[in-house]
Amino acid sequence: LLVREKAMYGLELVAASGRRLKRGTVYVTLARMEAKGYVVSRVERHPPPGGGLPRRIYEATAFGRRLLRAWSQIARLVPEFAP
Amino acid sequence: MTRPGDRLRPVARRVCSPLAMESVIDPTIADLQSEYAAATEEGRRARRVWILIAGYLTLSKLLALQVPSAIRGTFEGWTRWEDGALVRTLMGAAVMFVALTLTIMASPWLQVHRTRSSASVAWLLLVLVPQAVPIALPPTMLAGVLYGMHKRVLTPRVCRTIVLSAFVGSLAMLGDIAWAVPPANQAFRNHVFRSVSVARMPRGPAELPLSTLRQQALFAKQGAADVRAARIAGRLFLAFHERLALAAAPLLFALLGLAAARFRTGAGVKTVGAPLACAAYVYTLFWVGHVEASALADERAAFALAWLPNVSIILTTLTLLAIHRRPQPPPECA
Repeated sequence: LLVREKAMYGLELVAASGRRLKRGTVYVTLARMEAKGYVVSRVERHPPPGGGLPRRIYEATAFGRRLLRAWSQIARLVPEFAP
Repeated sequence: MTRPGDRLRPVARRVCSPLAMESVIDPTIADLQSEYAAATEEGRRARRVWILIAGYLTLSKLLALQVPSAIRGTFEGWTRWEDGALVRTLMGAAVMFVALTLTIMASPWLQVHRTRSSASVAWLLLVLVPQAVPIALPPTMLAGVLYGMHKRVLTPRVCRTIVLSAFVGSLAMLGDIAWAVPPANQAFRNHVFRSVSVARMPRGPAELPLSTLRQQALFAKQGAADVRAARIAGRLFLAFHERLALAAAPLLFALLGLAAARFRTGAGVKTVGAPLACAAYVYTLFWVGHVEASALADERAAFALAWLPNVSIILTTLTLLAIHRRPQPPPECA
């Protein structure tokens, strides 16, 4: 999703995935992906007008994109690797 | 204005690592707040409620996932000696607790069997265990600490963990005394009494829930001019405050054990000292129960008397700490 779309925050990803991603696990998954270098995150520049914590926005890295491409190719050859 | 998640965030910070806060908890709270603010602007009340429920469920799930690593983090950097001392203390207390609980249960168990009743083992356990716990837990906390810390160095983090465990024990005991003991006690009395009569036993002070106990005491106090009513009020007030005082006993006995464990005396002194302290506590409780009840119709007097055994334990703990802190004379040169 992050490769196809622009940078997104967690709940946008949950909505865009058609609920295949869950609220409770999306940030844990994103944190793990960030630790592995697949995605990069930043806190949004303009905090919400009503106050509150600024959101964290995620974007795929070049390494993450390359990895996804490689994974897709493998998945085409070996069906067991398909998501 | 307080936003959803604002109060939960400081609590989460205590449980989670800074990395987990930054990468998981804060983004979840930020999303919750943004979604909630958007729903408020649109005036969608039902959606606002749903966002709150879903958001807090997500947060509680995430926090629950962080608890094991928080517990592991607590014990990181502990030395083998500290680990060993804590395990010895907790295991020692657990073994003694089970042994003492079974010993306390033995007498009523035999009594039930003597009447050839049809009580099942599960039923007896269900009814007798809650009653045995308040008697067994405080002395086993003391014995566990003395056993676990014998010839061990007391480090602040071991002390903190033991105090925290004892505090949890006290809370569990409060729950047991407040909600489990009264119905268990009454069920056991009914069962024993049924073997000689068909009637049910009326509830006594020990069989009343905490709230009812205090209500009845206040009701009886209204007629305190009458000596009989004053006696009833005094007995009920004392029973109420005794239960609260007894719930604090595991924590106080653990503190006494930690104070006594600082002394490098032989095992014999502690083996004699611990039962003596328990006996003194039980004797004071017993003595408190024999004070003229009408004098306790004033709730403050009942409170002071019920907490007297605990106060004596606190004073003993403070005395031991004061003696231990006193500068020792330098060892004589040979």
